[in-house]
Amino acid sequence: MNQQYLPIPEITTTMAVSSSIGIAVLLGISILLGMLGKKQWKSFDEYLVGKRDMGPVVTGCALSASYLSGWAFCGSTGIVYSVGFSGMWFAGMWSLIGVIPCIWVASAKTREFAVKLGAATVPELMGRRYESKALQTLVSVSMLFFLFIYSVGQLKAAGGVWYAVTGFPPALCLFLGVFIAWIYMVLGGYVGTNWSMAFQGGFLGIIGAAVGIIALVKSGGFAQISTEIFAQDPRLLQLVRPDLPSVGPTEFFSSWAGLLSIPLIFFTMAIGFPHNLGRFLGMKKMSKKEFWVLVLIVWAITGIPVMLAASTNGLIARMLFGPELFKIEPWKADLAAPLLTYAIGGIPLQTLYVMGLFAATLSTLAGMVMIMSANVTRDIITLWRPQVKDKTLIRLSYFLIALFLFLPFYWTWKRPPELLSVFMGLAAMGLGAIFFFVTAMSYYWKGASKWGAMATVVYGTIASLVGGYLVFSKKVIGMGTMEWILLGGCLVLYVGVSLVTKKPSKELLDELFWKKG
Amino acid sequence: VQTDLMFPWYVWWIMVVGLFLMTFIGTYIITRRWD
Repeated sequence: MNQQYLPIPEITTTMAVSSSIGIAVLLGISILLGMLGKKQWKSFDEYLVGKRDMGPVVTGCALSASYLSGWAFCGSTGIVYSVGFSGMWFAGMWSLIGVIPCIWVASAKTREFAVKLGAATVPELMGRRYESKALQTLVSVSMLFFLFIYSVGQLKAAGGVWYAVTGFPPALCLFLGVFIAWIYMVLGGYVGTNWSMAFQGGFLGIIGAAVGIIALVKSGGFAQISTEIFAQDPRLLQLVRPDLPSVGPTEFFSSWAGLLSIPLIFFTMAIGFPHNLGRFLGMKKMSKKEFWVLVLIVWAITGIPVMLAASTNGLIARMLFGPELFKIEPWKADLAAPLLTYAIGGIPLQTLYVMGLFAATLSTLAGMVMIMSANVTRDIITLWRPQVKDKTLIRLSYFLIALFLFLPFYWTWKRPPELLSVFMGLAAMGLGAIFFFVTAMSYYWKGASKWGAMATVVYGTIASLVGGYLVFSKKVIGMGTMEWILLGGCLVLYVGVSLVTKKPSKELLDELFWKKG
Repeated sequence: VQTDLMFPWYVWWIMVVGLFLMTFIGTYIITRRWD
């Protein structure tokens, strides 16, 4: 029976050395771009947003890189490898439903509001939009909390794949990765980090598309894939899998309530993620042509590679390796993507893939850490102690960036506490649900009030924590059902409380919403 | 039987083409009035 599947490739010296050189090149270019950014900032404000002159190509590549995590590049293929077609919805077929509307509704508005209000961070933008220092503090504490939980899982895929293709312990490689990220973030500030992220985004887009297209060409076509996986297990061809449990995370594959919640999750996540909106704070004002360039670049990087990683790549890996990967502890299905690249393109393609995975991982983590550090310095310290000097804040940033990069490394190396793992699953959903309303909707609705925003932040944070417990620990409800409860509650509170409470001053609203001429 | 095997791919193509059209038509509508 086993003879019909490809054997699992053994690690060779060439494979290990090749991946090591690949990662060294990737990190080398990233640090070089960070150093070029060093000449671009002189004050703490410029350290946080640069000169607001980033063009559409850099913004498009950096936005894609911050949005696409190691999970989109690796975990998604593993899900489809495991459950078949029914996994593609959650794995990323819907990724464009969020990130393209994010550009439509949030790019120009984030920049316009930030310039009008003189804001350098998303919480500062919110504090001034709603005229409330208390809200700015609450938003930055909530953001710090969610991003911290979300960041802890970011290095897992890269560490696992690194070990699987080189046999070297992941601790040293990951430590080198976060150390390099610290150097380019500290030296380059927003500008240098954005340039590094743009390079990483462009790189992972090209590699991701190449892997997906080569795999599809070599597979023998759609009918061939269907026939072979049907022979393994007919359930792999089902678009919904009612045979899987309807509670816990598998609700995303097993029921319509779960399946229909997925486009909503992707929609609110991409628009609500502060590390996505952060890309627009330092963007230039776009002309019509530049806006098209921005949209097309994001479509090319988060469209083609992710859709293929989240569907055909997983199915083709299943066709080639059968269920054999489930026997490889502890990585199991997460090896689907790196082993597929080796099967279709040998060591060169596998090396490029590992580089792409590190690019996706480091860029998402850097985007988050940049926000988390500013949450403390700009949004809490400067807000309440405006006399603190720039020099002190910049030095504190160096320390905080190191701390927030080190913690995910530490908990990838040592197992994260059980409580943290439980909340990790809902952190992305919670971030999306809260900030979709509090940030993006506040650009369009004059009637939003600080009390509505506060109620949304408090409810969204508590609902995510309770939801994590009910979905992962108690397993009494499904993750899709939890999304409806989370998003529905945020919508009702944001609109309901805003309707009955005092709005920001007329002067501010006229300034923000008045159309000239 | 062959048609059944291909059914998920029809849905897949609808997703790929649909999101492509969403991107283009949406961006066209949004930028139509820009100078």
